[in-house]
Amino acid sequence: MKPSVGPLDEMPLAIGDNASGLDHEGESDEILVVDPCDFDRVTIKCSHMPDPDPWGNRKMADGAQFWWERGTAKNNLRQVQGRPYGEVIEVVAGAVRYPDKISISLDGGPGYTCSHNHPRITITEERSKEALVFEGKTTAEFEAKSRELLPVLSNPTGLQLLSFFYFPDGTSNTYVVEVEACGCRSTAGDGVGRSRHEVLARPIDLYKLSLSLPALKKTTYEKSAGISDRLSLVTAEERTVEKGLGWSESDREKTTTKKASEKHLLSPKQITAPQVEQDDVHPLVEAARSFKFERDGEDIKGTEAIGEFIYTLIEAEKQLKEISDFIRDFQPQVGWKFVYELELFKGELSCEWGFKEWEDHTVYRWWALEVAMTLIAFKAEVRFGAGFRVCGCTIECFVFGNFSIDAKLGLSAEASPEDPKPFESVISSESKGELGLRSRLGGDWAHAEGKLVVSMKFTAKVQLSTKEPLHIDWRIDYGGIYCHVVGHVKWVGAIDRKWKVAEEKKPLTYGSIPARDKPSPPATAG
Amino acid sequence: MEGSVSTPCFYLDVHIRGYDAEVFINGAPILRSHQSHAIRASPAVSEWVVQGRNEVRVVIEPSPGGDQPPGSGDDSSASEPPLVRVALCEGEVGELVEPGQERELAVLDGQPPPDDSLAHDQALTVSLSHPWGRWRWEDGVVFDPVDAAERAELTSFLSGIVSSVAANQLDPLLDASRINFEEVAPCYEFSPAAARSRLPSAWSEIVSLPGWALAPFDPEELELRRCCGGRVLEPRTRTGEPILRQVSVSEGPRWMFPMFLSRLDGRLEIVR
Repeated sequence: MKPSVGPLDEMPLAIGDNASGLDHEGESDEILVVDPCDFDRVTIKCSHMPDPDPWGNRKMADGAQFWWERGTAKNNLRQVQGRPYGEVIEVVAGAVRYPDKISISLDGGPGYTCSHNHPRITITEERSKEALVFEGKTTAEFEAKSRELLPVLSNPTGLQLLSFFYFPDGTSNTYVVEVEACGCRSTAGDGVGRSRHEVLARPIDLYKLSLSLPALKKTTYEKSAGISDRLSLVTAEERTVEKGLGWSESDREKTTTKKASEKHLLSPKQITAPQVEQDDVHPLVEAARSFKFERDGEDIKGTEAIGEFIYTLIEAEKQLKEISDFIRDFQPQVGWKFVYELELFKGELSCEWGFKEWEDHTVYRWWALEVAMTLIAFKAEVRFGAGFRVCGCTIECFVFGNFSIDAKLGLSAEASPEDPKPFESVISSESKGELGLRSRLGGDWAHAEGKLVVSMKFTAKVQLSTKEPLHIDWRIDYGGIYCHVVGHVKWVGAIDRKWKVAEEKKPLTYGSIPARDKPSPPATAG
Repeated sequence: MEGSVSTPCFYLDVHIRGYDAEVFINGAPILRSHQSHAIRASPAVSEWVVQGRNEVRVVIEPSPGGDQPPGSGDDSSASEPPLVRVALCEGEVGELVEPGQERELAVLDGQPPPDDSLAHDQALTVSLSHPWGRWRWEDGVVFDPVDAAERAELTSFLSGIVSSVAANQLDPLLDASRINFEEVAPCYEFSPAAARSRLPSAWSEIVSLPGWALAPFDPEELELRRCCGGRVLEPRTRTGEPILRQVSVSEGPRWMFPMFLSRLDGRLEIVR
């Protein structure tokens, strides 16, 4: 908004102490005595000039200045191409603490010899209409404050909550500064008389969201079965879980469970899948407590919803583990093994934001993002038996091998007034590795003629702008296991055909940091 | 499977990545790999193992165009380094050997030369013994690659086999495979009779495959690949397919019947 400068012909022309002569439509022929009352320049300073830290980079040591030259308003405000034109003086100020002391001073002019207690400086808080009036002084000060952010959300999602604290518009406060004098000078025609300016107080709060997640766990699910002799079947299962927050070696807990049994003359159907024991508290739930959401270095209470994205990671872990479930459906008499190491969003994430004063008279939306995270590191070793049926025969095979998928993100980004463009980074990674086929020894065997891989794809999109808070949307697609297999049956021939070993599932799992939807906390985590 | 006495089983543990290659034992082709994808397979090769010195050979073919680096196929494992590892192993028939638990008798762990655009091969030899005696193909007459009369005889023999199979008459094929059944069946705990009955038992399923039709025999396309020092012949097409095969299908299963011939006592026999 431009300051209004009253042209002389709109001003009540104060001519001497006795201005009534004008009221008689020039009937008086008295010699009018003019009492000069005017100013040349208005200077408005905020307390961060020229000591900007930590509120920004304000460098206007001389303050914002407004003056007039032959009736034309001038100012020293920098107008940068590509940024909104404005003459509103923006500051950052707290709602309670850290108000910004704004000083106004008038300079120059013929002085104030009228009888109207000029100059008059009126500062009005636009919302409340409360006003401070300074009369007969060429300087004035007031404390500009932003408005308090009132909690109005009920049971929000993490993203809703974060958005609530993200550059909240309702917390800005506008002050109108009006300067008034008679505008009379010894020479008519170049008086100023009245000037209007605005000071917009943005909230001074700096927010910080930080998270440090440990590795998930290394888990071994294994069930082996071998024909120890022709009459018995030995089964063994082992499950090893390493868990902990990962801060230090001593902080880690290791649990190993082993079971072994020998069963006689079992049919494959009698061998049941191993019962997976449940952990009491998932380490990620513990880790969620390490999540910090601070305003000016102090915890913001009641923002636990932002940490609820942890539940989607726990669900993701569960879904990845359940890839092993299909293994149990195949030829259990040859046993199966599923060993995996999973890191999901392991590492550090920090996002800060808040209004900051720029070098000139403006305030900009500042954010800084630091991420050093392994978004996903999933290594798995699989081994399971599967029967490939061809030409009336079933070729019993092991499918075995390793596959892995990993995606890392390391970035440091910061918003600047010159570059307010939204930040977006897309990370995509596909699984690597290969599987092998091992047939039961004999005349019948099979081999894969083409890719034999566990197909998995991870994608994540990191987005942040001055309009939307940080959010990372991610998903994992599981393409299953398909391959082209050639089965060689002795004295019958070879048949090649497509073999769908495991069904795809797209998406296998997905989530968002912070959560877009209200996740259900798992009762227990496996 | 039949029998309860443990029977040794020789097999190759093949792991090749990034190469067009073919694996042989004693000159008999066992398995092909393609540059486009890794192959891990364990074909049984007992019927090709001889008493005494045995040779395992991997022939690496030149890269298409000569300038494509190994491992540059579209496989997602292409980022893995090229690899040629072939182990001759011994187990027991019916055994499902867990990966890593192989009893390796000899390993060809090749490091191909830097210039992979050239064909080259690698081989190892190992001395073995087995309980099946001397194979008949070891005493086969060496085929003459330029003998027109022999080629004509082979063409006639194969044409007859294909014609009879096309007419759903399997006996000529089975009768010509007598030595195959007699020699190989014991290697895998089958009786010769059981071995002979396998194809007839599966035949109805084979001819029920989608798009079933037997590929016609084309003498012009016949390639007689000499194997095992020329004592064994692999009849195949110029594109390397068995001459006894289903016609190409756009998708779905496809049947092929590789065979190997020897001349024994003056007669052509399907020995493998």
